[in-house]
Amino acid sequence: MLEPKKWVERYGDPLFSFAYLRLKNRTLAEDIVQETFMAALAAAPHFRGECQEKTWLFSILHYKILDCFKNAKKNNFLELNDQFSSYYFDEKNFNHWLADKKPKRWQMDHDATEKKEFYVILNACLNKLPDLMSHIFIAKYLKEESPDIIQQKFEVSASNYWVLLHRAKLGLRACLEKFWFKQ
Amino acid sequence: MMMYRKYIYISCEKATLLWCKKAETDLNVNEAIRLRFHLFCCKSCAQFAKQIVFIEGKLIDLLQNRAEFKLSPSKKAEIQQMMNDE
Repeated sequence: MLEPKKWVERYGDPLFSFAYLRLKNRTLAEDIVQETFMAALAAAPHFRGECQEKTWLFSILHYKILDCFKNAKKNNFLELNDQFSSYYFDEKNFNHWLADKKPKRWQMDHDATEKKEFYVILNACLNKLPDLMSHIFIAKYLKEESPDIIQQKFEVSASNYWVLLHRAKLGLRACLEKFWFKQ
Repeated sequence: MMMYRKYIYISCEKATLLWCKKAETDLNVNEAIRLRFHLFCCKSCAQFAKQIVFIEGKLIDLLQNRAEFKLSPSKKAEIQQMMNDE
């Protein structure tokens, strides 16, 4: 049973953050969310109830964003190559950490990392990741989708998925260390 | 001991990959033992593991709770108005 009158309050924020993180443009994300709600409202009589209201709205938004990417020809996904891991690990030393890339000890002070500035840096680091990696992160941490669903949606094999996630985490960790924890 | 080490030895690259995998799925017994042994011996990977748990918590907070990822009240009102008018 759809409840369009409650959509904006219930799903406005999660749909917006999903769109904003993928499009990286606040105005464009707001407009896409608006278009999503209007398209959903128009399609509401055809909703068959085979999935939850939230899932249905997210799937409409997903296609809106894909259209947007197609139009902008912006969808430059990362190729999986070996150069990435050799940036962190030493092939000549059994793939252990390169001396200057070893994780350093962090002062994970609760108050300091609750500051707005920390989240600005974290967001910037997330934006620095290649598109496919940041999209997978968003699907995982915002939409809380399972690995199976994410693999299907992004058409990546299970082993590539783990490699991508690994690389994304390596990249995000290194970025935070460089721009926040080194201060 | 040396003989056993050969069988449970993994690189830091493999250990960090397994740590990322472990957050979402069960490792097989072989992988789990190797990872545990590696983290016991390798301070850098133990540090990595701790930091990734911290980052994941902050990512969830960033993506789900922070104000900058929410629709502005004025935009919400505008959309609501448009939907009411339809």
